[in-house]
Amino acid sequence: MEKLGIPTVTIVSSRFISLAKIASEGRGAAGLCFVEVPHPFELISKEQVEAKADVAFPEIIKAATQWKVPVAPQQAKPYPAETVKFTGNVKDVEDFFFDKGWSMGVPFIPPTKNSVAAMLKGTTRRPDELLWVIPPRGGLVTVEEVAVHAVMAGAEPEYMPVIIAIIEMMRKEEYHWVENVTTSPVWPVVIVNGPIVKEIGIAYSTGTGGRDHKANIAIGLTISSIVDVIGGSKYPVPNMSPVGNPAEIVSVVMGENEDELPEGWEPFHVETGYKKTDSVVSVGRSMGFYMLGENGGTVEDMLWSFAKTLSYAKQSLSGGALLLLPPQPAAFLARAGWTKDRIREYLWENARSPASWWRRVFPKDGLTAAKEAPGFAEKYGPITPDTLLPTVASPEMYKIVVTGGPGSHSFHYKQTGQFFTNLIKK
Amino acid sequence: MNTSNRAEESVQEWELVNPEGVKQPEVVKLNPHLGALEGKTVVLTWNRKPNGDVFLSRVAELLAKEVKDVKIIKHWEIDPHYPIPGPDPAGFGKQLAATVLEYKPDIVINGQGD
Repeated sequence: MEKLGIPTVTIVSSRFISLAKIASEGRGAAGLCFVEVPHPFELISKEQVEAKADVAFPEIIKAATQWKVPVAPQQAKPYPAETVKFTGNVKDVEDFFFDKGWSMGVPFIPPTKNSVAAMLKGTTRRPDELLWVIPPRGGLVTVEEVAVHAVMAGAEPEYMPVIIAIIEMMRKEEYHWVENVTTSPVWPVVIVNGPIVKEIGIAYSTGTGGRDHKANIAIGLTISSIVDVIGGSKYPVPNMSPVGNPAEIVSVVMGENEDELPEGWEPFHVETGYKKTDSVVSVGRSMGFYMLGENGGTVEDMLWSFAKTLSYAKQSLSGGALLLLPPQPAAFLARAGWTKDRIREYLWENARSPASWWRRVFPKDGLTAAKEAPGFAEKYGPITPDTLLPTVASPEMYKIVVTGGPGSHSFHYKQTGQFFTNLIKK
Repeated sequence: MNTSNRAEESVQEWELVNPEGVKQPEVVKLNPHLGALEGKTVVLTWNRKPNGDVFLSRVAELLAKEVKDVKIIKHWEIDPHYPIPGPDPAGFGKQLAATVLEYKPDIVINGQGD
């Protein structure tokens, strides 16, 4: 609204005022006019809510009529990054950084000028190139700052092109990283394809998303460090998730197991239009990770259990799911004639929940959302509480990746939103 | 901080690069507010969080009672396409702003947060 020339007053509950101020600063609107009202609004009576409005009203009027535009602060240059001289041992450095908000609290390698310069040799990009202005803080991420965090995370210089390619996707407006300080934990999920997987040692077999794989972990830790320190997504403010999740500490990075793709199953990046020989990152995000059904014994039972796992109303029409099939279940399905598209269609038809569940999860607008979802009226006619609704917006929102090692269990990341693919350029 | 049981690792001089980066310069020109609301158009928008509409409806009642000739528009009551959750939340924000602009507001009062 302000960009469109309209003055605003924004009412925010006390629990969210710090986030609101940080978020508005991060979008270049420092000093935006807020009126703070005591938390909460939810789970209290109508009379209690109206009483809060009665108390806040004089302040709202004052804000609407007497608020003055603040003076804009001076801007420091993003490059070269500031250097600080410090005396101490490694633990002292870690404490110093943590106290200043310069680390997440995970042990790190101190980023000296020399180590950052060495890390920058891993990319041909200019160190002063601005890659991203990260919400909510609005921190400026230069290539140099990427190198700083890569050093801290223990990365090798050859990881830099992958890290930069990931950031280039996370900065897209459609990726909507600004949502990461919501009341549910959110973390990036990255699939890497192409020759670079083996060139730099990205794990794609047993434990690909877990411990003991240096490239995967260092890249993921670099990303998490950047969004925490430069982006300011810190607990307890402005990050509002009551519980958080360990996956926020190391963003998920996995290679697709292209060696063991079933006959006729394309690699993840080829499905989006790249050549098999392209090195590509596909960047999504997630709010949850769990097993995907059970093996079932038959293909039909396996797929049925997948569908039941995915039939959760909160998945909602705005999300997707990333299905992680190790080679064994992928081959099991492929031998029975199932292609990725056929699996997606099956899940679209069978991973559903009744509209009455939607109303319980989204009390005010669940049924409205269902009734107005694109194509629903044409396909389902009048939506009633018993109408079975798919939990993603379209079959294409089920992304399928073959990854991992020997074993029969499949897994999934939920509420993944869209995936954005990017060529890795050295 | 208790450092009494800390190992005596070697102390050294460091030249460290600040990992925090500088912040975004102010790029949005904020608009001056009205001296008075009498005769003005006030649009109220709601972010769909529970009871935000109750709060804003009460604000609307008080505005109508206390401010002469004010025109009050509660956006969520008159826009049938608001909101639609979907895979493009950023696009949804732009769509909302474009719709509100059509009401020719003198000021917008938003309800945000949880």
